[in-house]
Amino acid sequence: MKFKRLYAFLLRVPVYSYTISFIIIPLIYMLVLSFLTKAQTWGYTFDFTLANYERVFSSFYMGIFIESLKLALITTTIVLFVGYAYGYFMARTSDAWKRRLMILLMIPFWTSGLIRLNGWIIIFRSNGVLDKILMFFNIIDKPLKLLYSYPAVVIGMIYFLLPFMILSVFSSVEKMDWSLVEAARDLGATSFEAFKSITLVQTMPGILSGIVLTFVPSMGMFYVAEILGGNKIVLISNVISEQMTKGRNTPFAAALSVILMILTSIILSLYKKFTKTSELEGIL
Amino acid sequence: MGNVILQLKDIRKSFDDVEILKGISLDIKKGEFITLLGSSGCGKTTTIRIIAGLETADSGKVILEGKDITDLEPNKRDVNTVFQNYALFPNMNVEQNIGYGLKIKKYSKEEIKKEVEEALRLVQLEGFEKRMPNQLSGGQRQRVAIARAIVNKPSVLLLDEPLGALDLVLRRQMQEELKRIQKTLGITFIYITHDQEEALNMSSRVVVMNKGVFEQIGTPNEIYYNPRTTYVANFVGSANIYKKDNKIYAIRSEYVKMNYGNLKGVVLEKSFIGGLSKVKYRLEDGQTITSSHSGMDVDVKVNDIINVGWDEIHQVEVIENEV
Repeated sequence: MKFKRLYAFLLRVPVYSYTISFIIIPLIYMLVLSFLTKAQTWGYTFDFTLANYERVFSSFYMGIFIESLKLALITTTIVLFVGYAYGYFMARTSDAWKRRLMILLMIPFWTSGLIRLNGWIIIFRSNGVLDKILMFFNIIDKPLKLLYSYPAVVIGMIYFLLPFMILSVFSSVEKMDWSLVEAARDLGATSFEAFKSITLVQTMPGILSGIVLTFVPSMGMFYVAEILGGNKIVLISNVISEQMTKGRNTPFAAALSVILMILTSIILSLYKKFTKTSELEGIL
Repeated sequence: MGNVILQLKDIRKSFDDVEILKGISLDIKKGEFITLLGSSGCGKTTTIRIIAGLETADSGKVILEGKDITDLEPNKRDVNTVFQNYALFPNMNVEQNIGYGLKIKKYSKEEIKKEVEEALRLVQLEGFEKRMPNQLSGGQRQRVAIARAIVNKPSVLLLDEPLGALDLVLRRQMQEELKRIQKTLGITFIYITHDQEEALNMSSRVVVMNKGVFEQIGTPNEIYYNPRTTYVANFVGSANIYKKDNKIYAIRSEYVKMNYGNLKGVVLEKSFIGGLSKVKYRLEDGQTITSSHSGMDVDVKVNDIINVGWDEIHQVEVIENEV
């Protein structure tokens, strides 16, 4: 009996030690750090202060928070519509096409994200691939200069996050009981009415988890804004990254991170309450 | 035309080069209780899916009340289906499930409430309005599925093995209720089953289906006592198939008598199946015959040699297709 309990405990040790060392300790470290003072030269001193938070709540940084939220919302909305369509049709095609579409979705993951971002630079830059194609077909007559613009950042975000939406919608559409749609049609619903009242409701867990999987990361993808947005688009995650590196103000970066985490958690819990979801496809 | 409500004209349907329906035709009269009887894979579900519009026929016509509905979408057809797995909407309560069709047809809230109440009364589920489907037993779900279909007052109601998942007692009870509901409403029922007893008990006419064709269409009496083919004779009440002089006859086991006639048979086995005893014999020419007797006690033992026979009027000549 005693041995059994020891055995059960040993089985959990890896999970516990991982959680403690990579999640809990860093979180505590960050929280403590956010109340400390930046040293004149390098690092920080153990002087308690609220100055970091005062600075976070200044209108300048709050503006950046709002900007970041706006971009996350735009990204999530577009990803939702495109991802739902892709995921839905992927689940509805023949098995052969399912495999092909799935491979198309998976191949990019075999390459580093940074390299793929640099691919986008080649496409977006002035007189780059996109401009040349559009000019060749006489759709535009001068370069779009998309690189380092807001649309470039949005497209980059969508590109990175779309697979998560597609996969969660796909798995919920795959699980659908299609006889329900047939029953609705049989009872007089047009295909659109049946989609609205049955399919959409049945695939809601996939939609909701797709939104979470898109929204949360899009608040933190500073490298997309940095590489495709130049210095023009500054998100809260860019500020954190800059304070950590160039600014050498780790306590302030920590305070920003704490607020970002709290903000994201509040939005998530509001969202869960508002949509009354207890189940999300695969997560939570 | 008279009172024909639904006509199937030479309907064919293939899936992946396998012909499921090989040109079926049928006229159904208003108020009939028609049963499609056949083993699984014979095409009976495909037939009603084509009537409902959930499947399109490769060729042939479906005519409802004189109107060609072959290419009409399912929502434009005045037929409703009770699905085999019930297909109740899990996110809606009983009232919303039953009212779904009426809501789509833009009935007012009061009308829907009234109609739903009436439908629930008909299936004897008063007071269940606010229950969710997962809070109902199998039999109750079945009733809700029936209520959801009949509340729309279709000209034809399609029932796809609606009692298949219920236990025997509940099934018997639901059979009687379905008959009662059908009589009350006067709606034409097209009922699918693989259970010959159910088919004989409930229907005004039975259609025996086999491998995509209608083998025989007739009243339960005709089907049982005058089977056209060996398949029908066998599938409905497993009749004896007896060959003599290049002719094939079907003889119901209840007509086979012991110590009668001049055929000799060895008793192979005796079985008691509740209310009936069955005795199986091997005749001198190698054919086997079964007789059935009411009651439990049959005064023979295995390996006894006795005379068995039947009156000639009880043997029906049939076409051999399969046994």
